[in-house]
Amino acid sequence: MNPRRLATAWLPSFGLQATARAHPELKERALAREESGRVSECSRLAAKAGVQAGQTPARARLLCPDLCLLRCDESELSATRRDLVEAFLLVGPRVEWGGGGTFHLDAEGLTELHGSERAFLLQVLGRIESLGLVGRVGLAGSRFASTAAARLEPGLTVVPPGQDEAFLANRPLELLPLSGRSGRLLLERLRLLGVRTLGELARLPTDALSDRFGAELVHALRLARGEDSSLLESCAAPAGLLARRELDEPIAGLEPVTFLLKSCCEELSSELLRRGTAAVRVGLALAFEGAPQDRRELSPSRPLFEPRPLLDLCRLELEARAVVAPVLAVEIAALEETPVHAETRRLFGRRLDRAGLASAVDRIRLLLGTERVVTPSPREAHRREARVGWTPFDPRRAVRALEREAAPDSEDFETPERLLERPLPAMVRLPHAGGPGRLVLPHAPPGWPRELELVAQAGPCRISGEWWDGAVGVDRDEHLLLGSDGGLYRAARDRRTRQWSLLAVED
Amino acid sequence: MNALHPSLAELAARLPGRVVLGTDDSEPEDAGAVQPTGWTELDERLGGLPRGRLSEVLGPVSSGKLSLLLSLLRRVLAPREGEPGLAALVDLSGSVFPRGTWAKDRLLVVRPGELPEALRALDVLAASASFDVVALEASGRLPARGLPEAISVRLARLARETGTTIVACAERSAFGSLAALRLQLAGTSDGRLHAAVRKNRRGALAEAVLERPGLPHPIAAALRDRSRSGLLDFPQRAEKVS
Repeated sequence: MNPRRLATAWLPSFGLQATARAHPELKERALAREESGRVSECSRLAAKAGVQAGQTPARARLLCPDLCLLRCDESELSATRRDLVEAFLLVGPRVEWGGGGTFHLDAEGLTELHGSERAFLLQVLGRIESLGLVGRVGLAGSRFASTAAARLEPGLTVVPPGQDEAFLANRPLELLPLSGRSGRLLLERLRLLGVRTLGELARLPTDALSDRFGAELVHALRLARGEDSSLLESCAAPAGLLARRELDEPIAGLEPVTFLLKSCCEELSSELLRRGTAAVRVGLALAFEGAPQDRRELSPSRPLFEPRPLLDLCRLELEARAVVAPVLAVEIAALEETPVHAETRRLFGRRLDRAGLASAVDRIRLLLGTERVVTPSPREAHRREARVGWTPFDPRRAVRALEREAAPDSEDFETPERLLERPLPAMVRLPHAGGPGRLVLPHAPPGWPRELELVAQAGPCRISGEWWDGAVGVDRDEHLLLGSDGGLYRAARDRRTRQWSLLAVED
Repeated sequence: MNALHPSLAELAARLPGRVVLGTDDSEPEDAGAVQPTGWTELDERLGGLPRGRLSEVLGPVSSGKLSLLLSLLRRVLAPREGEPGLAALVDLSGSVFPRGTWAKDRLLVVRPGELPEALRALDVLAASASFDVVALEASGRLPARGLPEAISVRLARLARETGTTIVACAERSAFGSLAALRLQLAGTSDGRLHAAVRKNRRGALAEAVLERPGLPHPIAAALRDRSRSGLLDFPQRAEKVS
């Protein structure tokens, strides 16, 4: 049985390489990627000028005035990853994406196929270069050692069988995949013990230290000794985004199939919108009862992300080539995507995203409670503050109202008032012939005036009622007060207690 | 234009929203991407709020913040022209109650009890990429230094990625340097509003005295007419703009 052999391809500054691949005019420039207000990676040209990860954009531009600072585009990354996996699968049987620009390939038993391990690595490098990318490759007996070989050595590196521990011996501890607070603490404790290299770590006694340092150290020890026993989690050949519906009983006829496809198109459209991409090529597949599966590739005249045009495209195809057998499943896939920016989405018309709205509402209800996710529902009441009513927000009703109902024509004659659900105690002197009035709010909320001159008023408007339902009822005179700040304040004086309170303020 | 070595500005035009320009870490601003507020006089001057960015409307009570907010939400949910969109309001102040028919069933209102709940709701709404506008009404509830910078950085990124216009209304700045537009409002003694653009990444700073948005309440209009025309029963004094 062949000893275990694993290759790793590592592409430095993978995000920038993916972007430069999609936009060739960037290839000769000094590039850096901006994430969360910092440089996260930079090209070789930028690094030569002193740009480093972690710098602010301003600092980076100071060092390299010609620097082109870019934001990442997830669809470009996905497309490049997909192309690399497809290319590597032509060389080896299994490929695992290790995050970022790292890919692991199963290299066991491939010597006979390629002549030598070096020849195999040359094939892998060739695949990378054929996609217009730059990378390094390493081959060793463990994932950790092959990754170290790819990242630390230029070009291609083969670690002979059984030599992983020796290859790693002089490498620094910082190579270990330890993250988070516990990882940093472990590294610190090892340094305090005088351990600086992986070789020194590998010589530590496992049993004596596992109780003291825990499973994380044991794992680190195994990595340093080249004993990485984890299996490759291979990627299937990427199939792109897809939505599928399967049936327990087959259906016949174009209309029922179209009905099924409609929900698939809506699901696919939601995912495309979420990713900010549109489908350049669309795959349509039908599974039949008693007949071979039908797979077709459709090329729309423009990239699509809306459900309606996707459905129309599929329906036209099905009408042109009749559905001859009962259908058991339908599937629609975006085989190739292209980025669609917010402005382009608006150019094509922003759709009302039912799925996204419902999902957002559900999440907030889970976080805050159902009673906090509402829509206004005014009530009839004598007291202004009692007119405030809320009903639970219904996403489907909202979309129905927006899509089907005409916008209300009438303008609101109600002043835009900031309502106080509990009226504020106030002291009021109304303006009169002797001079302006005064409004005093002893318990004014933050941002509200404590005292204000009043220059005009309208009222009283007598409000009386609610005595019939057993409550105390309301019996007050309401006034509209114009303040010297130009603001309009609504105050009321209870006719029984003669106390003033502030009900609302125009804002 | 040099096809082999395009300038940064040319690259920014070719890759909208991707290239970070400027030595002050400001973002490239597309002059055409605005969200009209529905306040005609303001839209004529500014165009609207920048889409996919953070904006702030600041001012004391009675300065017209609520008027602008309701006008903006109404403009999204019930526009006179074009298709309606989706809008959400996170009302931390607990004092906003849109009574118009345009809001019933259409406007999503989240009524959090505390600031952390409001921020979580804001995050979910912005990240959903489903809303044209997400507004935070935080009058009287913002901490002295505004929102933590990490929160503002995340919201700015979400707004940019999803194209959602996020606007905060309060007495003080919520987003700090991350705001692309900062509009300061104040009431004038004659019932109008003084609007000053204190920060605008897309254009010049400006200020003007504008009529309050929307149709005036008949009684309010009558009161203000009397005040302006001096037809009050007592001697007038010049008042400072607040």
